[in-house]
Amino acid sequence: MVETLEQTALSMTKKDIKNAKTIGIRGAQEYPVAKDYKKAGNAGLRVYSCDADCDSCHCATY
Amino acid sequence: MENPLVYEELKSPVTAQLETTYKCTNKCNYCYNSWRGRKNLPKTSLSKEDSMILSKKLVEGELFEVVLTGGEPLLRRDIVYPCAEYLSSNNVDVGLNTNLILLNEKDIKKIKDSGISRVFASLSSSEERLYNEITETKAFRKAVRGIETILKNKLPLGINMVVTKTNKHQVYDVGKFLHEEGVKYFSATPASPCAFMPRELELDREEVIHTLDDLLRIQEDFKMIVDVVEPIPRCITDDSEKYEQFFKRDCAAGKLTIAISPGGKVRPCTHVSEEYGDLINEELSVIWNRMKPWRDGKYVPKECHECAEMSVCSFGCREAAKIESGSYSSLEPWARKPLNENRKKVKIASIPEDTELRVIPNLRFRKEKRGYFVFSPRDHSAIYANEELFRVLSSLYQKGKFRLGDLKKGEEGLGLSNIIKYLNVRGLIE
Repeated sequence: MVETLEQTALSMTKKDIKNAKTIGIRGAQEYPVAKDYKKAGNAGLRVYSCDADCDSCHCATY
Repeated sequence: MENPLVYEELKSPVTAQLETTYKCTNKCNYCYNSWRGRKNLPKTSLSKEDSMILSKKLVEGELFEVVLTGGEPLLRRDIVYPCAEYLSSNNVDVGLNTNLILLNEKDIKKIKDSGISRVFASLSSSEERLYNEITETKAFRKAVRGIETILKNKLPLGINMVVTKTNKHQVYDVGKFLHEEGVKYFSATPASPCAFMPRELELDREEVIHTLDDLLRIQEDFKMIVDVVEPIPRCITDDSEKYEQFFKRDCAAGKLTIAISPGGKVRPCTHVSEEYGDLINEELSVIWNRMKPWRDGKYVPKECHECAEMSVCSFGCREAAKIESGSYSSLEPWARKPLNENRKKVKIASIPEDTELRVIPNLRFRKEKRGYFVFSPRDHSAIYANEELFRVLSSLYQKGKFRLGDLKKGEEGLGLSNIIKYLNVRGLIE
Protein backbone atom coordinates (compact mmCIF):
# COMPACT_ATOMS: atom_id res chain seq x y z
CA MET A 1 0.00 0.00 0.00
CA VAL A 2 1.30 3.48 -0.80
CA GLU A 3 1.87 5.73 2.21
CA THR A 4 0.94 9.33 2.82
CA LEU A 5 3.38 12.11 3.62
CA GLU A 6 1.53 12.62 6.91
CA GLN A 7 3.04 9.30 7.99
CA THR A 8 6.60 10.65 7.70
CA ALA A 9 8.45 12.85 10.15
CA LEU A 10 11.84 13.38 8.53
CA SER A 11 14.05 16.38 9.13
CA MET A 12 16.37 17.92 6.54
CA THR A 13 20.04 18.80 6.87
CA LYS A 14 22.29 21.16 4.90
CA LYS A 15 23.62 18.07 3.13
CA ASP A 16 20.10 17.11 2.05
CA ILE A 17 19.49 20.56 0.58
CA LYS A 18 22.78 20.35 -1.29
CA ASN A 19 22.21 16.88 -2.67
CA ALA A 20 18.46 16.99 -3.37
CA LYS A 21 17.73 15.63 -6.84
CA THR A 22 14.93 14.35 -8.94
CA ILE A 23 15.36 11.24 -10.99
CA GLY A 24 14.12 11.42 -14.55
CA ILE A 25 11.70 8.63 -15.33
CA ARG A 26 12.31 9.34 -18.98
CA GLY A 27 16.00 8.75 -19.48
CA ALA A 28 17.91 7.06 -16.70
CA GLN A 29 19.94 10.08 -15.62
CA GLU A 30 19.65 11.90 -12.35
CA TYR A 31 18.78 15.54 -12.63
CA PRO A 32 20.08 17.92 -9.97
CA VAL A 33 17.79 20.66 -8.80
CA ALA A 34 19.60 23.76 -10.09
CA LYS A 35 21.79 25.26 -7.39
CA ASP A 36 22.12 28.62 -9.07
CA TYR A 37 19.03 29.11 -11.12
CA LYS A 38 19.75 32.77 -11.91
CA LYS A 39 23.06 31.88 -13.49
CA ALA A 40 21.47 29.00 -15.34
CA GLY A 41 18.59 31.18 -16.48
CA ASN A 42 20.86 33.98 -17.66
CA ALA A 43 22.93 31.52 -19.58
CA GLY A 44 19.76 30.36 -21.31
CA LEU A 45 19.98 26.94 -19.77
CA ARG A 46 17.11 24.92 -18.49
CA VAL A 47 16.49 25.89 -14.97
CA TYR A 48 14.90 23.74 -12.41
CA SER A 49 16.14 20.33 -12.91
CA CYS A 50 17.14 18.81 -16.10
CA ASP A 51 17.80 18.80 -19.77
CA ALA A 52 14.19 17.96 -20.35
CA ASP A 53 12.78 21.10 -18.67
CA CYS A 54 10.85 19.68 -15.79
CA ASP A 55 7.92 22.06 -15.62
CA SER A 56 6.53 20.36 -18.65
CA CYS A 57 8.69 17.33 -19.10
CA HIS A 58 7.56 13.77 -19.29
CA CYS A 59 9.63 12.25 -16.57
CA ALA A 60 6.68 11.71 -14.31
CA THR A 61 3.72 13.30 -15.97
CA TYR A 62 1.18 11.50 -18.01
CA MET B 1 24.87 3.70 -28.97
CA GLU B 2 22.94 3.49 -25.74
CA ASN B 3 19.32 4.44 -26.22
CA PRO B 4 18.80 7.72 -24.35
CA LEU B 5 15.11 7.08 -23.92
CA VAL B 6 15.18 4.11 -21.62
CA TYR B 7 12.57 4.76 -18.94
CA GLU B 8 13.62 4.53 -15.35
CA GLU B 9 12.49 1.13 -14.16
CA LEU B 10 9.74 1.58 -11.59
CA LYS B 11 8.91 -1.46 -9.51
CA SER B 12 5.28 -1.40 -10.69
CA PRO B 13 2.87 0.80 -12.64
CA VAL B 14 1.77 4.12 -11.19
CA THR B 15 -1.76 3.81 -12.48
CA ALA B 16 -4.15 1.22 -13.95
CA GLN B 17 -7.34 1.23 -15.97
CA LEU B 18 -9.55 -1.57 -14.67
CA GLU B 19 -12.12 -2.60 -17.27
CA THR B 20 -15.06 -3.92 -15.31
CA THR B 21 -17.10 -5.17 -18.26
CA TYR B 22 -16.98 -5.61 -22.03
CA LYS B 23 -20.58 -4.44 -22.29
CA CYS B 24 -21.60 -0.91 -23.07
CA THR B 25 -24.84 0.99 -23.55
CA ASN B 26 -23.29 2.89 -26.46
CA LYS B 27 -21.72 1.78 -29.70
CA CYS B 28 -19.54 4.83 -30.40
CA ASN B 29 -17.86 4.64 -33.77
CA TYR B 30 -14.58 5.93 -32.33
CA CYS B 31 -14.31 3.48 -29.40
CA TYR B 32 -10.65 2.87 -28.54
CA ASN B 33 -11.03 -0.32 -26.53
CA SER B 34 -8.80 -2.81 -28.30
CA TRP B 35 -11.36 -5.60 -27.89
CA ARG B 36 -14.23 -3.52 -29.26
CA GLY B 37 -15.98 -5.16 -32.20
CA ARG B 38 -14.20 -8.46 -31.66
CA LYS B 39 -16.56 -11.31 -32.33
CA ASN B 40 -14.90 -13.84 -30.02
CA LEU B 41 -15.12 -11.80 -26.80
CA PRO B 42 -15.21 -13.98 -23.70
CA LYS B 43 -18.77 -14.46 -22.55
CA THR B 44 -17.86 -14.61 -18.91
CA SER B 45 -17.71 -11.32 -17.10
CA LEU B 46 -15.58 -10.40 -14.13
CA SER B 47 -16.82 -12.06 -10.96
CA LYS B 48 -17.02 -10.20 -7.67
CA GLU B 49 -14.42 -12.51 -6.23
CA ASP B 50 -11.96 -11.89 -9.07
CA SER B 51 -12.54 -8.14 -8.96
CA MET B 52 -11.41 -8.15 -5.33
CA ILE B 53 -8.38 -10.32 -6.19
CA LEU B 54 -7.41 -7.74 -8.81
CA SER B 55 -7.99 -4.84 -6.41
CA LYS B 56 -5.84 -6.46 -3.73
CA LYS B 57 -3.00 -7.04 -6.19
CA LEU B 58 -3.13 -3.39 -7.24
CA VAL B 59 -2.91 -2.28 -3.60
CA GLU B 60 -0.04 -4.73 -2.97
CA GLY B 61 1.65 -3.42 -6.10
CA GLU B 62 1.51 0.07 -4.55
CA LEU B 63 -0.35 1.72 -7.40
CA PHE B 64 -1.35 5.32 -6.80
CA GLU B 65 -4.39 5.48 -9.01
CA VAL B 66 -6.98 3.11 -10.48
CA VAL B 67 -9.58 4.20 -13.01
CA LEU B 68 -12.69 2.03 -13.12
CA THR B 69 -13.82 1.84 -16.70
CA GLY B 70 -15.36 -0.53 -19.22
CA GLY B 71 -17.36 -0.88 -21.44
CA GLU B 72 -19.73 1.04 -19.25
CA PRO B 73 -18.80 0.51 -15.60
CA LEU B 74 -22.24 1.45 -14.29
CA LEU B 75 -23.46 -1.81 -15.80
CA ARG B 76 -21.39 -3.43 -13.03
CA ARG B 77 -22.31 -1.45 -9.93
CA ASP B 78 -21.91 -4.71 -7.99
CA ILE B 79 -18.18 -4.58 -8.73
CA VAL B 80 -17.48 -0.87 -9.14
CA TYR B 81 -18.49 0.36 -5.69
CA PRO B 82 -16.96 -2.45 -3.56
CA CYS B 83 -13.69 -2.20 -5.53
CA ALA B 84 -13.67 1.60 -5.20
CA GLU B 85 -14.27 1.37 -1.48
CA TYR B 86 -11.48 -1.16 -0.98
CA LEU B 87 -9.01 0.74 -3.17
CA SER B 88 -9.71 4.20 -1.73
CA SER B 89 -9.49 2.92 1.83
CA ASN B 90 -6.00 1.67 0.94
CA ASN B 91 -4.73 5.07 -0.27
CA VAL B 92 -5.41 4.44 -3.96
CA ASP B 93 -6.97 7.37 -5.80
CA VAL B 94 -10.04 6.09 -7.69
CA GLY B 95 -11.58 7.60 -10.82
CA LEU B 96 -14.67 6.52 -12.73
CA ASN B 97 -14.93 6.70 -16.54
CA THR B 98 -18.56 6.60 -17.63
CA ASN B 99 -20.89 7.79 -20.37
CA LEU B 100 -23.30 8.91 -17.58
CA ILE B 101 -26.37 7.44 -19.27
CA LEU B 102 -27.17 5.09 -16.40
CA LEU B 103 -26.21 7.51 -13.63
CA ASN B 104 -28.89 8.26 -11.05
CA GLU B 105 -29.14 9.93 -7.64
CA LYS B 106 -28.41 6.63 -5.85
CA ASP B 107 -25.10 6.46 -7.70
CA ILE B 108 -24.11 9.87 -6.36
CA LYS B 109 -24.26 8.64 -2.78
CA LYS B 110 -22.40 5.46 -3.70
CA ILE B 111 -19.73 7.39 -5.59
CA LYS B 112 -19.17 9.61 -2.57
CA ASP B 113 -19.34 6.80 -0.01
CA SER B 114 -16.98 4.52 -1.93
CA GLY B 115 -14.31 7.20 -2.18
CA ILE B 116 -14.35 7.77 -5.94
CA SER B 117 -12.57 11.09 -6.25
CA ARG B 118 -13.67 12.18 -9.71
CA VAL B 119 -15.81 11.27 -12.68
CA PHE B 120 -14.56 11.45 -16.24
CA ALA B 121 -17.31 11.29 -18.81
CA SER B 122 -17.73 11.45 -22.55
CA LEU B 123 -19.88 13.72 -24.69
CA SER B 124 -19.35 13.46 -28.43
CA SER B 125 -21.70 16.27 -29.43
CA SER B 126 -23.98 18.95 -28.01
CA GLU B 127 -26.46 18.27 -30.80
CA GLU B 128 -28.93 15.56 -29.89
CA ARG B 129 -29.14 14.15 -33.39
CA LEU B 130 -25.39 13.88 -33.85
CA TYR B 131 -24.76 12.46 -30.38
CA ASN B 132 -27.39 9.79 -30.94
CA GLU B 133 -25.97 9.00 -34.36
CA ILE B 134 -22.39 8.62 -33.09
CA THR B 135 -23.34 6.54 -30.07
CA GLU B 136 -26.09 4.59 -31.85
CA THR B 137 -28.47 5.44 -29.01
CA LYS B 138 -31.26 7.82 -28.18
CA ALA B 139 -29.54 8.75 -24.96
CA PHE B 140 -28.38 12.36 -25.44
CA ARG B 141 -30.79 13.73 -22.86
CA LYS B 142 -29.81 11.05 -20.35
CA ALA B 143 -26.13 11.94 -20.79
CA VAL B 144 -26.87 15.64 -20.22
CA ARG B 145 -29.01 14.80 -17.21
CA GLY B 146 -26.04 12.79 -15.90
CA ILE B 147 -23.77 15.82 -16.25
CA GLU B 148 -26.30 17.98 -14.41
CA THR B 149 -26.70 15.40 -11.64
CA ILE B 150 -22.94 15.24 -11.07
CA LEU B 151 -22.61 19.03 -11.04
CA LYS B 152 -25.62 19.53 -8.76
CA ASN B 153 -23.93 17.23 -6.26
CA LYS B 154 -20.59 19.02 -6.62
CA LEU B 155 -18.56 15.98 -7.63
CA PRO B 156 -15.35 16.71 -9.60
CA LEU B 157 -16.20 16.18 -13.27
CA GLY B 158 -14.19 16.21 -16.47
CA ILE B 159 -15.73 15.79 -19.90
CA ASN B 160 -13.91 14.36 -22.88
CA MET B 161 -15.04 14.68 -26.48
CA VAL B 162 -13.38 12.28 -28.89
CA VAL B 163 -13.01 14.19 -32.14
CA THR B 164 -13.41 12.51 -35.53
CA LYS B 165 -14.41 13.65 -38.99
CA THR B 166 -18.03 13.25 -37.83
CA ASN B 167 -17.96 15.87 -35.06
CA LYS B 168 -14.82 17.95 -35.72
CA HIS B 169 -16.92 21.06 -36.44
CA GLN B 170 -18.56 20.79 -33.02
CA VAL B 171 -15.61 21.23 -30.66
CA TYR B 172 -16.21 24.90 -29.83
CA ASP B 173 -19.96 24.37 -29.50
CA VAL B 174 -19.52 21.45 -27.12
CA GLY B 175 -17.11 23.52 -25.00
CA LYS B 176 -19.60 26.40 -24.91
CA PHE B 177 -22.48 24.07 -24.07
CA LEU B 178 -20.52 22.50 -21.21
CA HIS B 179 -19.44 25.90 -19.91
CA GLU B 180 -23.08 26.93 -19.76
CA GLU B 181 -23.83 23.71 -17.89
CA GLY B 182 -21.14 24.59 -15.35
CA VAL B 183 -18.38 22.17 -16.38
CA LYS B 184 -14.85 23.46 -15.68
CA TYR B 185 -12.65 20.82 -17.37
CA PHE B 186 -13.05 19.93 -21.02
CA SER B 187 -10.81 17.84 -23.22
CA ALA B 188 -11.28 17.38 -26.94
CA THR B 189 -9.13 14.48 -28.02
CA PRO B 190 -8.48 13.77 -31.68
CA ALA B 191 -9.22 10.08 -32.12
CA SER B 192 -5.98 8.31 -32.90
CA PRO B 193 -6.21 5.26 -35.13
CA CYS B 194 -7.43 2.24 -33.23
CA ALA B 195 -8.68 -1.21 -34.07
CA PHE B 196 -12.44 -0.56 -34.01
CA MET B 197 -12.69 2.90 -35.56
CA PRO B 198 -13.06 3.06 -39.35
CA ARG B 199 -9.97 4.81 -40.73
CA GLU B 200 -12.02 7.30 -42.74
CA LEU B 201 -13.05 8.91 -39.45
CA GLU B 202 -9.47 9.85 -38.53
CA LEU B 203 -8.48 13.50 -38.49
CA ASP B 204 -5.58 14.68 -40.61
CA ARG B 205 -2.88 17.01 -39.20
CA GLU B 206 -4.71 20.20 -40.17
CA GLU B 207 -7.88 19.00 -38.49
CA VAL B 208 -5.96 18.11 -35.33
CA ILE B 209 -4.48 21.62 -35.24
CA HIS B 210 -7.93 23.09 -35.85
CA THR B 211 -9.18 21.12 -32.83
CA LEU B 212 -6.37 22.56 -30.71
CA ASP B 213 -7.25 26.06 -31.96
CA ASP B 214 -10.85 25.51 -30.89
CA LEU B 215 -9.65 24.42 -27.44
CA LEU B 216 -7.53 27.56 -27.12
CA ARG B 217 -10.57 29.68 -28.02
CA ILE B 218 -12.63 27.86 -25.40
CA GLN B 219 -9.89 28.48 -22.85
CA GLU B 220 -9.81 32.17 -23.74
CA ASP B 221 -13.56 32.76 -24.03
CA PHE B 222 -14.84 30.65 -21.11
CA LYS B 223 -11.78 30.29 -18.86
CA MET B 224 -12.22 26.52 -18.87
CA ILE B 225 -9.35 24.09 -18.28
CA VAL B 226 -8.79 22.51 -21.67
CA ASP B 227 -6.75 19.48 -22.60
CA VAL B 228 -6.27 16.52 -24.90
CA VAL B 229 -5.93 13.10 -23.29
CA GLU B 230 -3.79 11.31 -25.84
CA PRO B 231 -0.16 11.99 -26.79
CA ILE B 232 0.42 14.19 -29.84
CA PRO B 233 3.85 14.30 -31.53
CA ARG B 234 5.47 17.74 -31.33
CA CYS B 235 6.44 17.81 -34.99
CA ILE B 236 2.77 17.97 -36.01
CA THR B 237 3.15 21.77 -36.05
CA ASP B 238 5.70 24.46 -36.81
CA ASP B 239 4.26 26.58 -34.01
CA SER B 240 4.95 24.44 -30.98
CA GLU B 241 4.94 27.45 -28.63
CA LYS B 242 1.28 28.16 -29.32
CA TYR B 243 0.25 24.58 -28.63
CA GLU B 244 2.80 23.74 -25.92
CA GLN B 245 0.15 22.89 -23.29
CA PHE B 246 -1.14 20.06 -25.48
CA PHE B 247 2.24 18.34 -25.75
CA LYS B 248 2.60 17.61 -22.03
CA ARG B 249 1.02 14.22 -22.19
CA ASP B 250 3.40 11.35 -22.72
CA CYS B 251 2.47 7.89 -23.93
CA ALA B 252 2.50 6.12 -20.57
CA ALA B 253 1.64 2.66 -21.96
CA GLY B 254 3.68 0.02 -20.17
CA LYS B 255 5.91 2.72 -18.65
CA LEU B 256 3.64 4.13 -15.98
CA THR B 257 0.30 2.52 -16.67
CA ILE B 258 -1.47 -0.73 -17.52
CA ALA B 259 -4.97 -1.74 -18.58
CA ILE B 260 -6.68 -4.80 -17.12
CA SER B 261 -9.43 -6.49 -19.09
CA PRO B 262 -12.61 -7.90 -17.51
CA GLY B 263 -10.92 -11.29 -17.73
CA GLY B 264 -7.90 -10.08 -15.74
CA LYS B 265 -5.55 -9.92 -18.73
CA VAL B 266 -2.96 -7.14 -18.57
CA ARG B 267 -2.14 -4.87 -21.51
CA PRO B 268 0.06 -1.74 -21.77
CA CYS B 269 -3.00 0.48 -22.30
CA THR B 270 -6.64 0.33 -23.30
CA HIS B 271 -5.84 0.80 -27.01
CA VAL B 272 -3.40 -2.10 -27.26
CA SER B 273 -4.65 -5.65 -27.72
CA GLU B 274 -1.40 -7.47 -26.87
CA GLU B 275 -1.70 -9.27 -23.53
CA TYR B 276 1.24 -9.79 -21.16
CA GLY B 277 -0.26 -11.90 -18.43
CA ASP B 278 -3.19 -12.88 -16.26
CA LEU B 279 -3.37 -10.83 -13.08
CA ILE B 280 -5.89 -13.10 -11.45
CA ASN B 281 -3.41 -15.99 -11.50
CA GLU B 282 0.00 -14.29 -11.74
CA GLU B 283 1.95 -11.70 -9.77
CA LEU B 284 1.89 -8.12 -11.04
CA SER B 285 5.69 -7.84 -10.84
CA VAL B 286 6.10 -10.84 -13.18
CA ILE B 287 3.72 -9.35 -15.74
CA TRP B 288 5.29 -5.88 -15.40
CA ASN B 289 8.70 -7.39 -16.20
CA ARG B 290 7.33 -8.87 -19.40
CA MET B 291 6.35 -5.37 -20.54
CA LYS B 292 9.94 -4.09 -20.63
CA PRO B 293 9.97 -3.43 -24.39
CA TRP B 294 7.50 -0.60 -23.70
CA ARG B 295 10.05 1.21 -21.56
CA ASP B 296 13.48 0.22 -22.83
CA GLY B 297 13.36 2.48 -25.88
CA LYS B 298 12.59 -0.35 -28.29
CA TYR B 299 9.45 1.38 -29.57
CA VAL B 300 10.99 4.82 -30.13
CA PRO B 301 10.86 5.33 -33.93
CA LYS B 302 14.33 5.41 -35.47
CA GLU B 303 13.48 8.66 -37.29
CA CYS B 304 12.91 10.34 -33.90
CA HIS B 305 16.51 9.69 -32.82
CA GLU B 306 17.55 12.44 -35.26
CA CYS B 307 15.11 14.98 -33.79
CA ALA B 308 16.23 17.88 -31.57
CA GLU B 309 13.00 17.58 -29.56
CA MET B 310 13.37 13.86 -28.90
CA SER B 311 13.87 14.34 -25.17
CA VAL B 312 10.60 16.22 -24.74
CA CYS B 313 8.33 14.48 -27.24
CA SER B 314 5.75 11.75 -26.67
CA PHE B 315 6.22 10.28 -30.21
CA GLY B 316 2.44 9.93 -30.31
CA CYS B 317 0.40 6.77 -29.79
CA ARG B 318 2.27 3.50 -30.42
CA GLU B 319 -0.91 1.61 -31.27
CA ALA B 320 -1.72 4.26 -33.89
CA ALA B 321 1.79 3.76 -35.30
CA LYS B 322 1.22 0.02 -35.50
CA ILE B 323 -2.11 0.45 -37.27
CA GLU B 324 -0.54 2.95 -39.68
CA SER B 325 2.66 1.09 -40.46
CA GLY B 326 2.52 -2.34 -38.89
CA SER B 327 4.99 -1.77 -36.06
CA TYR B 328 4.97 -0.16 -32.62
CA SER B 329 8.32 1.41 -33.48
CA SER B 330 7.19 3.21 -36.63
CA LEU B 331 6.23 6.86 -36.94
CA GLU B 332 2.65 7.59 -36.00
CA PRO B 333 0.35 9.17 -38.60
CA TRP B 334 0.53 12.79 -37.36
CA ALA B 335 4.34 12.89 -37.07
CA ARG B 336 6.20 14.63 -39.88
CA LYS B 337 9.98 14.85 -39.76
CA PRO B 338 12.90 15.26 -37.34
CA LEU B 339 13.43 18.85 -36.19
CA ASN B 340 16.77 20.63 -36.27
CA GLU B 341 16.16 22.82 -33.26
CA ASN B 342 14.56 22.29 -29.86
CA ARG B 343 11.87 24.97 -29.77
CA LYS B 344 10.91 24.45 -26.17
CA LYS B 345 11.30 27.58 -24.03
CA VAL B 346 12.63 27.73 -20.49
CA LYS B 347 10.16 28.85 -17.87
CA ILE B 348 11.28 30.27 -14.57
CA ALA B 349 8.90 30.17 -11.65
CA SER B 350 8.45 33.45 -9.86
CA ILE B 351 7.14 33.40 -6.29
CA PRO B 352 6.94 36.65 -4.30
CA GLU B 353 8.97 36.35 -1.07
CA ASP B 354 5.96 37.05 1.15
CA THR B 355 3.65 34.48 -0.47
CA GLU B 356 2.42 31.90 2.02
CA LEU B 357 3.27 28.41 0.74
CA ARG B 358 2.63 24.87 1.87
CA VAL B 359 3.22 21.31 0.70
CA ILE B 360 0.06 19.97 -0.97
CA PRO B 361 -1.90 17.94 1.61
CA ASN B 362 -2.44 14.21 1.21
CA LEU B 363 0.66 13.52 -0.92
CA ARG B 364 1.34 9.83 -1.33
CA PHE B 365 4.58 8.01 -1.89
CA ARG B 366 6.23 4.64 -2.34
CA LYS B 367 9.82 3.47 -2.04
CA GLU B 368 11.65 2.84 -5.29
CA LYS B 369 15.12 1.51 -6.05
CA ARG B 370 16.76 4.95 -6.04
CA GLY B 371 14.46 7.00 -3.83
CA TYR B 372 10.76 7.72 -3.56
CA PHE B 373 8.00 8.19 -6.10
CA VAL B 374 5.75 10.98 -4.80
CA PHE B 375 2.24 11.47 -6.18
CA SER B 376 -0.41 14.12 -5.69
CA PRO B 377 -3.97 12.76 -5.98
CA ARG B 378 -5.22 16.32 -6.47
CA ASP B 379 -3.88 16.82 -10.00
CA HIS B 380 -1.78 13.68 -10.55
CA SER B 381 1.48 15.58 -10.52
CA ALA B 382 4.41 13.46 -9.41
CA ILE B 383 8.16 13.36 -8.96
CA TYR B 384 10.74 10.67 -8.43
CA ALA B 385 12.82 12.13 -5.60
CA ASN B 386 16.14 10.89 -4.29
CA GLU B 387 16.44 10.22 -0.54
CA GLU B 388 17.66 13.76 0.16
CA LEU B 389 14.89 15.53 -1.75
CA PHE B 390 12.33 13.31 -0.06
CA ARG B 391 13.66 14.35 3.37
CA VAL B 392 13.43 18.00 2.32
CA LEU B 393 9.83 17.49 1.19
CA SER B 394 8.84 15.69 4.38
CA SER B 395 10.48 18.38 6.47
CA LEU B 396 8.73 21.17 4.54
CA TYR B 397 5.43 19.37 5.04
CA GLN B 398 5.90 19.43 8.78
CA LYS B 399 6.54 23.17 8.73
CA GLY B 400 2.96 23.78 7.66
CA LYS B 401 2.93 27.26 6.10
CA PHE B 402 6.15 29.05 5.15
CA ARG B 403 7.44 31.92 3.01
CA LEU B 404 10.52 32.21 0.78
CA GLY B 405 11.36 35.46 2.60
CA ASP B 406 11.69 33.59 5.90
CA LEU B 407 14.47 31.32 4.62
CA LYS B 408 18.03 31.82 5.84
CA LYS B 409 20.36 33.85 3.65
CA GLY B 410 23.35 32.21 2.02
CA GLU B 411 23.94 29.11 -0.03
CA GLU B 412 21.70 26.91 2.10
CA GLY B 413 18.77 29.36 1.83
CA LEU B 414 19.24 29.77 -1.91
CA GLY B 415 19.38 26.01 -2.34
CA LEU B 416 16.17 25.53 -0.36
CA SER B 417 14.51 28.41 -2.19
CA ASN B 418 15.30 26.77 -5.53
CA ILE B 419 13.98 23.43 -4.35
CA ILE B 420 10.74 25.08 -3.20
CA LYS B 421 10.35 26.83 -6.56
CA TYR B 422 10.98 23.56 -8.32
CA LEU B 423 8.41 21.71 -6.20
CA ASN B 424 5.96 24.55 -6.88
CA VAL B 425 6.45 24.19 -10.62
CA ARG B 426 5.93 20.44 -10.28
CA GLY B 427 2.65 20.93 -8.41
CA LEU B 428 3.72 19.59 -5.00
CA ILE B 429 3.85 22.96 -3.26
CA GLU B 430 1.16 25.64 -3.47
